[in-house]
Amino acid sequence: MKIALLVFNFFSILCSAESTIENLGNSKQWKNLLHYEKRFFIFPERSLADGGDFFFSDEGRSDPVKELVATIDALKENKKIIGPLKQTPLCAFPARKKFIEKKLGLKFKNTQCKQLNEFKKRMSTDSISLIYSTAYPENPGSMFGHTFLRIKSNHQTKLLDIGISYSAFVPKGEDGAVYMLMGLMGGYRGYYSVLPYYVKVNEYNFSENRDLWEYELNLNSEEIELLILHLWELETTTWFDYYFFDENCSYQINAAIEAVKPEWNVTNFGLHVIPGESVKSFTNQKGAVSKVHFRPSLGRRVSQRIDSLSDSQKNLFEEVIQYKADPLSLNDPDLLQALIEYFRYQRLDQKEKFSKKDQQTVQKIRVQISKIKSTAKKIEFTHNGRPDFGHHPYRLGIGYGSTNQFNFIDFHLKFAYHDLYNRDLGYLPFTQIDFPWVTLRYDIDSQALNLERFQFFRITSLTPWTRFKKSASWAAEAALVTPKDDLCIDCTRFQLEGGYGLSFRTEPMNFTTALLGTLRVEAGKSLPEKVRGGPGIRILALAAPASFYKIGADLRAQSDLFQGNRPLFYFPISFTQSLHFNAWSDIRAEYQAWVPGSTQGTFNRQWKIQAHFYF
Amino acid sequence: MKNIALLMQLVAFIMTVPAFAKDGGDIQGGGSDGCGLGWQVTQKKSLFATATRGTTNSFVPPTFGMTTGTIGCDKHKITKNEQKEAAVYAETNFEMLSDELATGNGEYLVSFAETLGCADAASFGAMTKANYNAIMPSYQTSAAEMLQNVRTQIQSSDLNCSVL
Repeated sequence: MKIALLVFNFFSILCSAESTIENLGNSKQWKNLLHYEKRFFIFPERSLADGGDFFFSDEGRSDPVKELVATIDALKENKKIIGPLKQTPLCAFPARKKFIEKKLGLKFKNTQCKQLNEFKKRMSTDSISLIYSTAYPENPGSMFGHTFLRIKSNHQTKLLDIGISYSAFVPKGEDGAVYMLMGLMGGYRGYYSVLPYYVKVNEYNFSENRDLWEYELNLNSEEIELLILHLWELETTTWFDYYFFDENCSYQINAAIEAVKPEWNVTNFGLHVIPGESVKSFTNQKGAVSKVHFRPSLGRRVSQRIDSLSDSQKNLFEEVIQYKADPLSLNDPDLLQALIEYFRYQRLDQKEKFSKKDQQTVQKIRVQISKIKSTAKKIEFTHNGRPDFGHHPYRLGIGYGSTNQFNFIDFHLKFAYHDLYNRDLGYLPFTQIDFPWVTLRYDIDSQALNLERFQFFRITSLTPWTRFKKSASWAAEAALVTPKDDLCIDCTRFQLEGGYGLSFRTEPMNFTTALLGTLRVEAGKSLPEKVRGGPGIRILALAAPASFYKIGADLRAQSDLFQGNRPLFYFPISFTQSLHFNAWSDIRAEYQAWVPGSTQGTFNRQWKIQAHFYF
Repeated sequence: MKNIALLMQLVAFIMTVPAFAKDGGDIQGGGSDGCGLGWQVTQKKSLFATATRGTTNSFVPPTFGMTTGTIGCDKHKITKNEQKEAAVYAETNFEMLSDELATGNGEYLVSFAETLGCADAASFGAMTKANYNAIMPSYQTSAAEMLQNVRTQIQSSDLNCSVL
């Protein structure tokens, strides 16, 4: 009897241990630590880790329970040699060790991990922030922004904190097209990098003129420590293939955080992970963000500093930068501060080309600043609004309108991201980055559904030209279109266009005008010559009279060089108004006309009202 | 045929719109020297720049993200390990520091004071402002000279700085 009871007890202990292991192996946090992910609902759950010694079980990539059992064994034995640093399991997987010890009440051996300690000692566990770098208008590679982590160091000041970033490793001198393709197909490996925060600030704020938004995360010191240990595991034992659209910097940063804070759902994304959206995934969690801080770019600082000067100060400013006035004669701290920041901007912009004469001028300005007692007034820098307040990237639309031949209903779907008539809150004002969108048009009169337009991409960057900062504006797009100027109703053509020029902006209302020289090619069977196009002129005028309302005109003169007997020019023009309700909806009214270049041509026009839902 | 050739040329032109301009991500090689911290900014503007940057210093071996110092630490008289931080900081942020040493305040200056172990950043700023000509005697003053001058000035002041 006694023996039977003992056997029974033994089995029940064994069974409960088994079920504990099974439960833990299937727990969200353990799967997060292994970077399991269910993709698009249809694929079985699987780890995204692509290489190295990340799993102890042969089936570890798809069976989290087997991996847990194998990990426990490996940590007990502590024999295997792992990764390029040749670590033992206890040193290579400190986060798994900590997690298992806590959850199962085990205690593994204590080992000295020199490399890990070396890494850890630079960081404290006092605070951690998610840093969002805004989009970089002059470079489409950074169009969507970037996110990385900042961990408090053992120093006091923020600049001496540690920045941890995840990015693709790209060989030097990689060709642009190869780069694009590899980036999309996961042809590069992603790695974590660790840099002092001041390097990141210099890089984004100064070199690239991007604003930084700092979101302090509500993680306690135990969670921050686990995150540091987990990042160590990721970086020293495995790698992930880098996919530009979904498995990118923002996804991996969020996935690492979710591994130490499984209660937060910050990796539920659709087809793409836009850095701004990854910020929203934190601000959407109650209590996840404790503080938000804005760090303006150098360009923003300089232009707002110069704007704050009076006209007479501005004139004197101009005299100094043209070497007509001696900085040593100035006593105005605000003017001197504007000058020193202006030259700082120029130095970073021109690098080696920054002239000796300018360097000497800068030295004089600095000396003069050191001599005067009073300091420049503080400026409260304005911004475009918190990125997490911005409208959502996906768009569904339904519209009703009429051409001079028929009435129609339009169905519209866009995958990303921001156009000229969107609400600018949280985005770069009057900048457009559109990735695939499609509009289908239902002709009510003849009851036919046709492709109206498929837009591969459309990018418009209107960086204003100012007295003190000379920037170009440009636009580029590729689309399948249904042209409207030559009465071709249900034909589809491929169209490619680029434009380059200048734009100017005046407060109030952000009134922006742009003049672009363009070049367009259109190809399609319905054209008598199969192809047409040529240079053109485009004038854009846009304004935001209220935070919820935008209005604009787009006027073009387009040449038609590959023609039979068509007129040399035609004039596509459009007028648009948009009314924004919130982050997920707006409504637009649009009038378009295609004015023929000769009196024989037909004047085609259309108007349309369309409602949009963003998600 | 002619049209197609012309079309190709137009396409080629449009593709060279700045949107597609790219000049290679810059990756600095591994290795490690005395000063270690190769923590410098890659200023190349490349397509997908956010993706390429920073790989420079992935924290893989040999010293966890500290690749070579092209930063010029050999120019500094470094005798103690804790002096490196101020040297690297001064080199990396020389432009900002040159401005803020004159104004006597600013975020970069405060962190600089911290790398030098100066307890009172405000008095440190007042000292650099008052002695700017001695610290930055000419527009050609280098970061290493600046740092040396700052140290000299600290020593002849009553500032309390622990890393000298």
